[in-house]
Amino acid sequence: MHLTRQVLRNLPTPYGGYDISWKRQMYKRLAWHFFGRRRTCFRIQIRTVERALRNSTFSGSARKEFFKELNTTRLEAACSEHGVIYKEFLKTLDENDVQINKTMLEKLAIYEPRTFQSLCDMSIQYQKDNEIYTKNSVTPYGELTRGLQKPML
Amino acid sequence: MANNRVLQWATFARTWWIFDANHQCHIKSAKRIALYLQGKHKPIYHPLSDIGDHVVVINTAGISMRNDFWRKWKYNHHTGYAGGHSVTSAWRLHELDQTKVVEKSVYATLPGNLLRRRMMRRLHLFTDDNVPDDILQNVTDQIRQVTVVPRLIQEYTQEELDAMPKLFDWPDDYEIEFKRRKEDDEIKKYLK
Amino acid sequence: MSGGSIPSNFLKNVLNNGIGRYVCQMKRVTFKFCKQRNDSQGTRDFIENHLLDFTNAHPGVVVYIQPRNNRPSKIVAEYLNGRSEGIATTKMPQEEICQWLEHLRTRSGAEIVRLRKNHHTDNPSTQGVWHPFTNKDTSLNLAKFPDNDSYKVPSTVSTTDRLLEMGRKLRQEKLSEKS
Repeated sequence: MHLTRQVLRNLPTPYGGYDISWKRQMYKRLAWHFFGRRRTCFRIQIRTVERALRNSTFSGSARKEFFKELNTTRLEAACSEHGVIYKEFLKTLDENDVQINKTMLEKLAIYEPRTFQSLCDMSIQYQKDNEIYTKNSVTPYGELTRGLQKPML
Repeated sequence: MANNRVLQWATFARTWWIFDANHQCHIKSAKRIALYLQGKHKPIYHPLSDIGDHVVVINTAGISMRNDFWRKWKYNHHTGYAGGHSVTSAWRLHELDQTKVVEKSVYATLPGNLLRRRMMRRLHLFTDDNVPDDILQNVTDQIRQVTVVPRLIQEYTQEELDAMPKLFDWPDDYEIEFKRRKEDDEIKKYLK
Repeated sequence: MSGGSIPSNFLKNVLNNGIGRYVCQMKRVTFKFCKQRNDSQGTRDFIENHLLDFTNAHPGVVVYIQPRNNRPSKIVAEYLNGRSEGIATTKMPQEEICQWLEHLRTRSGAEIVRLRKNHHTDNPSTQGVWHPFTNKDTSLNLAKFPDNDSYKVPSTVSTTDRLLEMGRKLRQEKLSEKS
């Protein structure tokens, strides 16, 4: 690259139009990881690159939604193992000023299961003290002794 | 760490569950069974990692349906050829194969991806509670039932029946009318 | 920018280098410069004033000096993992070249890319990673399946029961009125 070429980048050429090699280079920079003619031929390259850019725009929101959903599913499973409803669990954490976000709760449930268990026990105790436990006590799985002792009304 | 590879064997281990389908709604129980087949009851769930568990369903002959859904619930099938459409009602399918209703509703509840057939292979259906020992010895836990098992009239004692208030007595020759279509008799040749 | 066009990797270190002992990962460095051009002046000054100090301080690094006519000046460093890094030193004063050389010496030789995660650990869990039996009740070890009673839905008060109860109360009221 010469300095003069960079100056003349967007100036019109004597034959009309402008120097398209700059534009092509821009696409080439985004297409280095493609395979075959998608990388080498410009007319095929530009289509693939623009598709990839469109996909990446879409995936920004889709990725967030996916991880949010995954997080909820995992925490629901982790909570109901201890006989707590996920929504009630979050409410009690909020009311007791336990400031752990959902991502860290999920990591605790997987990597530090005993810490998560103590959080669940705290939530159950809080619900029992405030007499809201019996209403929401039954979860599809979890410890046998909880929930099944009292008839569901 | 050298044993990291071994540590995850326990985390991703498959467990076996048992579910008693006696007097259970087949749709509600399919929803619950599908959770276990997908692995959604584990905090390590991910839709792409195949971590579902095995589920053994017993007493599928005893599943229940609301109202007169045994007659009204239809199963459609099309062979792909002209005139290949057939409609079977639930009671008829249940007569043909007593595990088929549960199997179909679980199959419909599972997500329609490439893992579905593999998850269905982990569903073991039995018409009664005679489960082979090699399957039963794997089972480590049971899935809770979804609906209340009703008390049948045969289970009431004569004293309780006598104490039940009645407005009138049924006549001795009373029969509930039940009409069968003619073609339904064809079913007998499939039954052994 | 689409995700694949930017190279990315996870955070890693060369064989826990720096924990206990440190091994300099730069094994060879080459100074390329011109003997007459003006933009190589800084490199020439560096070779005169600082190069011997550098070689004395770091005997593990091989140093080459490669004069070439009418070409821009450059430092090329080669690392133990086989990669090499080059830095153009045209028009640089000698102090700046010292700083860049220090930068190249302390690097691990791994490519500088976008990091997928900013943290890494070999021991993610102190209490043991979750597995299917962590939260199971120990009484399940001796339980026999299928268990017919404890997994049933607890029976509710049905409409029949309520009607019977109402009927019983009505009858009692009538009896008490009569008496």
